[in-house]
Amino acid sequence: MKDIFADLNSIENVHTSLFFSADGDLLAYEPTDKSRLTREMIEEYSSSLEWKAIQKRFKEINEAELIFSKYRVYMRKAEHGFIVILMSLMAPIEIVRLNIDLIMPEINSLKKAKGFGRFFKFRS
Amino acid sequence: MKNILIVDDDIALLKMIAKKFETGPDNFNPVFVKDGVSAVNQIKNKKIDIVISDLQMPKMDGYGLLEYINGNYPDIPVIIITAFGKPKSKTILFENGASGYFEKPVNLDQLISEIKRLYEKESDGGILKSASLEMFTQLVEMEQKTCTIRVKREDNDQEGVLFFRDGEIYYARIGNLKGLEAAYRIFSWHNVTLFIENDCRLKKKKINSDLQAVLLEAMRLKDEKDEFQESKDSADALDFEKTGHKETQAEKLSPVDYLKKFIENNSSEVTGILDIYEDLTWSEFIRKSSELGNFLNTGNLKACYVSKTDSTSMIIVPDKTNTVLSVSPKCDREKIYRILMD
Repeated sequence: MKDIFADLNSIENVHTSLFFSADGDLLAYEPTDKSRLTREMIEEYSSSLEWKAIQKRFKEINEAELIFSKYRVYMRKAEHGFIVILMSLMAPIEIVRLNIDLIMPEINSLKKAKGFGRFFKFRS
Repeated sequence: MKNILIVDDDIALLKMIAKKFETGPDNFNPVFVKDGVSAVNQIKNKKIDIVISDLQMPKMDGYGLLEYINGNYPDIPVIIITAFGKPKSKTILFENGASGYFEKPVNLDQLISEIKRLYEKESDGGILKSASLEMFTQLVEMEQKTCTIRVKREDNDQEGVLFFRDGEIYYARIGNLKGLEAAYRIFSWHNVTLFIENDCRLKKKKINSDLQAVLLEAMRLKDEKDEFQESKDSADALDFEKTGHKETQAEKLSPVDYLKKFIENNSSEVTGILDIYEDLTWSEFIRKSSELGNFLNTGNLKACYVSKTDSTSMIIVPDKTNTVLSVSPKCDREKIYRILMD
């Protein structure tokens, strides 16, 4: 995973990069030093979500950016799931978006069962 | 760039049209949908300049779509294409406001020519830059002209439309804002360019006031707004003197009201906002996003930016009614976020 998300995570104020499958499995989790979220926390939260409803809503959405009072969350639809990036409000969103554009072909070429294992080294 | 909405469930035809636009005129952007209901959603959410529609489609057919557009967006010309053309239906369609009619198989060169003709027709009565809208519309009234006036602000992308028949004001529209309220708003604009079309597709008067009454009320509302702004400025100055920090009246307004006022007052600073409207269909999305914020401990949700697969973009402001700002790609979103954060 670091091979794919390394550039993205090196952008100032980016905290965590996640990749979920379309049905909510956390396929990639790469926190930076600033992240306070553990893999277990995210998986627990993910299991509480209705992913079918999310899939349905994201049928008509390419990307979404959620602006909170302290942080921002960027979400992008990929062929086999969703990229979710947690970052500070000051993060350069256009550079984040550009980086995702660049890695998108690589992410889209991966398939859940076969591909991710080859590319992503999950943290335990 | 003109957005051409093409409504047809015939995928082969859509592909042919898409290809034609790829190699054809570069100032037209085709948007494709497969039925009338999707077309209505597009028109509500995006600035559409011309509609090309099939007659027989699922959910809402071409007749229904034509009726809807003529009732609510009568400045948008509609070209009908059909595989089941009959002279009688052609007559009915033109009587009901269609601007063009083609039978399948469609000659795409002719279709493009028709689009260009309709586009040029929008200013066949001339273009007036930096014009006085009040003065021009009073002339229209005096000379009992029939016309459609597209009013474009020179300091931002906002555009409104006024409809006149025999010198009487019939209707007004800015995005999804319609009728008198839209007319008042348009008449409060300064520095405008007028695109005059020597035709008015609307047959029924929808504003039950004469032009003078509309102009007077628009001026009164504008004065009221200016007074509010002046008193707000004074209050700000007083607050600042009393407290040493700027606790303004504007800060007590809801983010949406503040944003609307800010946009009205600072139109040169915030550009690319195409429309502002309420849309409760985003409630579930907003609720889930807020829940995500609670889990991540990211604070309160202030705004959501959404880019849709149909290439429309919007900023949704979470409030009671979910105010949606339909935005163009060149909109400075960060500036809007900053206003919302304040």
